[in-house]
Amino acid sequence: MKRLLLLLCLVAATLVVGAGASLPTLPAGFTIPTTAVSPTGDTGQVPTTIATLIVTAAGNQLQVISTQLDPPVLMQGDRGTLAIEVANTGTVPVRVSQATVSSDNAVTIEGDPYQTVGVIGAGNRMTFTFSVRAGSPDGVAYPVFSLSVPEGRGLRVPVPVRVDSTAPAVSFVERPEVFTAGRGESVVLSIGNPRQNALNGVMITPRGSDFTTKPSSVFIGELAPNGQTRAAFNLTPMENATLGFELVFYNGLNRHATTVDLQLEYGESKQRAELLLSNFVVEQTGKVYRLTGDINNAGLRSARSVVIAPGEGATPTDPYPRYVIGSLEPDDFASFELNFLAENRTTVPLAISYKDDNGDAFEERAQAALNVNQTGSAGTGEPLPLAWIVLGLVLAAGVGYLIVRSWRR
Amino acid sequence: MSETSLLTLVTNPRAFFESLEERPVGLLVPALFVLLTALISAVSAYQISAIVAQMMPQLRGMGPVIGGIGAISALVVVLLMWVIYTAIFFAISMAFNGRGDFGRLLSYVGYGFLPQAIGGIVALVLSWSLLSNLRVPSITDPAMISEWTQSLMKDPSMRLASAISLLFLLWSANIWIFGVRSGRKLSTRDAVITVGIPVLLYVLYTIYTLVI
Repeated sequence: MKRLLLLLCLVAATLVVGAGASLPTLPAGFTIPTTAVSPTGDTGQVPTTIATLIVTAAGNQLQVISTQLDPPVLMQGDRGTLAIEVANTGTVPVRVSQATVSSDNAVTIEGDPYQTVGVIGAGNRMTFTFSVRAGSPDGVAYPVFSLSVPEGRGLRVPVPVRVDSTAPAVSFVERPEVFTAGRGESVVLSIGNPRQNALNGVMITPRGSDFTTKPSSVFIGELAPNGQTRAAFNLTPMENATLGFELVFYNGLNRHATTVDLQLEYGESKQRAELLLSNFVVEQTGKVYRLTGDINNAGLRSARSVVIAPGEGATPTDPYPRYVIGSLEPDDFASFELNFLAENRTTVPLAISYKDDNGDAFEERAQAALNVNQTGSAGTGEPLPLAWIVLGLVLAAGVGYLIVRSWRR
Repeated sequence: MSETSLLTLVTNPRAFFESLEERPVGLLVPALFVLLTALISAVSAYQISAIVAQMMPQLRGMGPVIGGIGAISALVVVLLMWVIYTAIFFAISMAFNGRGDFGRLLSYVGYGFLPQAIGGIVALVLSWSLLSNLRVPSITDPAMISEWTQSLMKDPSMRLASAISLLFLLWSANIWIFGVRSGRKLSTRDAVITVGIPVLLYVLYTIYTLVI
């Protein structure tokens, strides 16, 4: 009779597992997962659910409903929690004496919290939580979850735990080819998450010495799997500055940090505004020179707050002691006018001050030769036309004749 | 040819004024001559004043107003000069026991403005050709404006205009000599001295400003 009942139970268990599922030959009271999914399946998702069935000697059924690892993918050195939910799908309570998870290669289980478990009622569920620690190398480990039941029968289920130490990818989206000491430059970084789980508390901070930055750091927060975001900084390095970026992120409760160096090469920016003066016309009125000309932006960036003024050795005078151009876009030009005194000089120095988009001030120097245009002096400066000279002579002769004639009578 | 015609005035002023001695004093024609001279001076003054206004940034846009003020001033000054010249001639001729009332002398001096009116037109054309092509700088310092104006007056065109004005002033002086001679009953020598002294001083001053 007992053999008949056991045979019926096995038949029933086979039906419950479902068609197509095959059970390997196991010792009595043991089974293996029936719906195991590869952690690197097509969906890329980490399996968090696994179902299996155990049939006890008493005919009761214990089933692993789900397993959940937090964080879903560990990095080397990370601590995580593995939660395994077991259900009693039978009709009578089952007494479980012990629940354990055995370590497997890179994954070790910390502590043994379930020395005694007790009874899982019919239709009830129980969750077993274990602390796991990931070692090396990366890969998928299968620590085995075991439930011990009386009469030497129990449940053993391998649980996949993925260890992947791939760090977020940081790259420079925008950075100057060369830095100029004391001048602010824009640096934009791209932070991508190539991992299969989200990262939290992501923050990037410039590190180094002899530089100023605005903002001091950028907090990104959560970075979704395969997600990407950008962080922009305005960096002003001094001479001999060292500069890098520290990326801090959390994988679950585990803090990680990685650094990215920024090599500083000093020089003149190839894209800066280049202001050139041309088309000088110098006029002199008394001691006052009037200089007009054009200012061109031959660079690749805008020049803001452009002001032209006479340099040292020249005394600015009204009405244009200095000339405010304002903004000058690349390939644009504007005319200017200056008035100044410059005694005993053949050239006049000119100072062109401007700012870039970051508000950093620049100054360039130029020289203008004081070749006075004669048309600038009072009058035309041209010699008298011959007709005027003839007219004057004729008038003088005529008036002289009339005067002399008036005295003859 | 009538002794009182304009042609007689410019070709034989002695006969012209002698013929007027027997007639009552008439100020209408001399006043027209002076007014014509004053109008020409007003136009010149308008030109210069407008340029000065254009020169000063704070006066830009007020050129017509400033020019108008300059023109009216020039008009009044020329009318006053008529009286002042007459007064000076009258005063100096008193040293030579000159006889004749002020009104008649005023009338005769007024006739003498005719050459200045002609010369004013020529000078106006000359200065116009210069000033219309002038590039006016922006200056706020009054000293600089004065310096610029002086340099303007040294331009060949302006010098020629000044020389022509002096030439016609000499012609006016020649007419004034005969006018004073008749109007104040002076000898020719005394009339030359009476007119020559102030005119010579004025001519010398003008030459001085042109040269220096």
